[in-house]
Amino acid sequence: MNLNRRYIVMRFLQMIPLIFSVIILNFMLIHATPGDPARIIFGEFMSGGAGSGEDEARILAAIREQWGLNEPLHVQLWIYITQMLSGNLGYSYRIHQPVTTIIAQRIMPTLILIIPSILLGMILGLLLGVYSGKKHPSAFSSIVEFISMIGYSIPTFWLALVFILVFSVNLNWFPMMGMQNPLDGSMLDRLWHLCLPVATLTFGWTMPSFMRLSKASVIEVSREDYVKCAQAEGLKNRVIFYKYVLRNSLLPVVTLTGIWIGVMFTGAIMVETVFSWPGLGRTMFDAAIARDYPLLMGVFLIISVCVVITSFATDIVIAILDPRIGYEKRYD
Amino acid sequence: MVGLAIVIGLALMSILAPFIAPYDPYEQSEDIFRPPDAKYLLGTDNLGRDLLSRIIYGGRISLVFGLVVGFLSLVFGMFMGAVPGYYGGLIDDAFSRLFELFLMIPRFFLILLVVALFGNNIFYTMIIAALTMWPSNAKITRTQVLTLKKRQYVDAARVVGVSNLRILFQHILPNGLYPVIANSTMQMASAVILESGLSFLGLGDPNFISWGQILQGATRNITFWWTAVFPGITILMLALGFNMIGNGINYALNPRMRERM
Repeated sequence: MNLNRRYIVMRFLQMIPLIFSVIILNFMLIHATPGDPARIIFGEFMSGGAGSGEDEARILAAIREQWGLNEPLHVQLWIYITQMLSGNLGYSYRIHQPVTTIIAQRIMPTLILIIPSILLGMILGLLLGVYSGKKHPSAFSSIVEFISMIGYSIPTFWLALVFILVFSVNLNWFPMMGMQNPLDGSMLDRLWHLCLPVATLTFGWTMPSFMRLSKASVIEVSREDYVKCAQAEGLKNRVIFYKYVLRNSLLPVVTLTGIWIGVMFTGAIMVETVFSWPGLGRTMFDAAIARDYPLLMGVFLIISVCVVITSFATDIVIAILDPRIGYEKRYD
Repeated sequence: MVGLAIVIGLALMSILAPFIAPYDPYEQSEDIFRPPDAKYLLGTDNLGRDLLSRIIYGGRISLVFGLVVGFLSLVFGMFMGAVPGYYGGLIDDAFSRLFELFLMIPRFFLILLVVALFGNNIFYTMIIAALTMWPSNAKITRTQVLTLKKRQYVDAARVVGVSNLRILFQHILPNGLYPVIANSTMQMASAVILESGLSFLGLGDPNFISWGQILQGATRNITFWWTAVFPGITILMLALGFNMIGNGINYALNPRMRERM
């Protein structure tokens, strides 16, 4: 247990340089771009918000002052790091709000979209995947395999379009876009609007992934020697399955869930854009089109950091669940 | 096998595009938004361009993107994985940290950022995509090398006096190739979907026709279903083809998968 605990602590500590690396990467991107870094921090857009050339010059000078752009590079880096760590992710001059506020405001709709999709995908995917793993090889498991392959070969935004086409335009079962009807706004209406986007994310993304992973995992664990041993000793197949196979095969699934935060945002961008869903993904898209660099970089940083943290959290959870981890290195 | 057939079929279609496309994909006509019929096999889009031709030409960029990114990721990943696997020690630790760093970066967002900052040149996009994809290949290669370097023929080669580099490239890597190839093909599928997603959002390279680009136009005119359905089917087929190849390789490699419980 000593070794295992040390592993956990080490993983925790390893998180820190990674977060720093991501911040530094962001910094390098600002300075690698051709052009004035102050401009980059300001964002390149032709909106009337910043006003006349005089105003702009003042703002740019203020930016230079705040981020120390007239100082040597390593001083700038230090200022940048301290700013990021103290929570100042930048200011969007297009929307006239600090990046952190923008993120806080718009993350809720995205979460409303992502969380049900993950849950649904997990339930459906695991059920089908585990069962088809149990039945492998068989016609059922081949069909499941094929469906999951189609599922993760399918471009999410296309699935969204097809759903809209079939269910909204033709059948008129569900609304086409937005989070709620401005005239209605009741919970039921919101749920109604939620259906198609969540269905898209679930069937096009989360479910196939869980299905495929759990199936492969179950199959792999079933072939392990200790399962054969248990069979030879006379344990009933069913007992073996539920007590040993299932538990051990669910570990990779936990890993997957952890890594997923970053990937889910990609899917969210697609779905949100097609359904005009007012979430963070859509905000990112608008920012990219409008060249709103501070917002883009701020969100990028936040998401990267989130990915790092969740990834390590998952590692630690797995280390707790599986006492073998951390011992492996010894026998190399 | 089926996957291979699909991919080769689509590749042929792309290469032979100028010969088999019935119309010039850029040629606009007055037959706006005609549903599929005898004259225009898949219908026309909002500017009267034949959809079938556009799809045939669009395949080129998707295929090239997928292949190039997958290949870059394969080569770079293999090299970066073989070195730490073979030499081990501190190098191994350092490289592993590097892998983790690159794996954590959210790919799509990075590309979004880069496109906003540097413009939507397709070369940049390909390089960034490959940059975020190679670590998984490297990890696999590293594991393979770790296992294989303990084999007897490696010791034998070393005794005879073969240099380390040669052992690596002539003996270990060729034997450890398959899982990486499987992974790379699936990355090619991801790359295809990535490219189409970017073009769909309008961030792709506007100089080339791309399936995602066609779909972008389709979103605004969703009632004309053929513009939305057909390009997506081709994206699906190409990605599926690559995935099937990768899956097939994995299946062939893993004899345990075929056993009955």
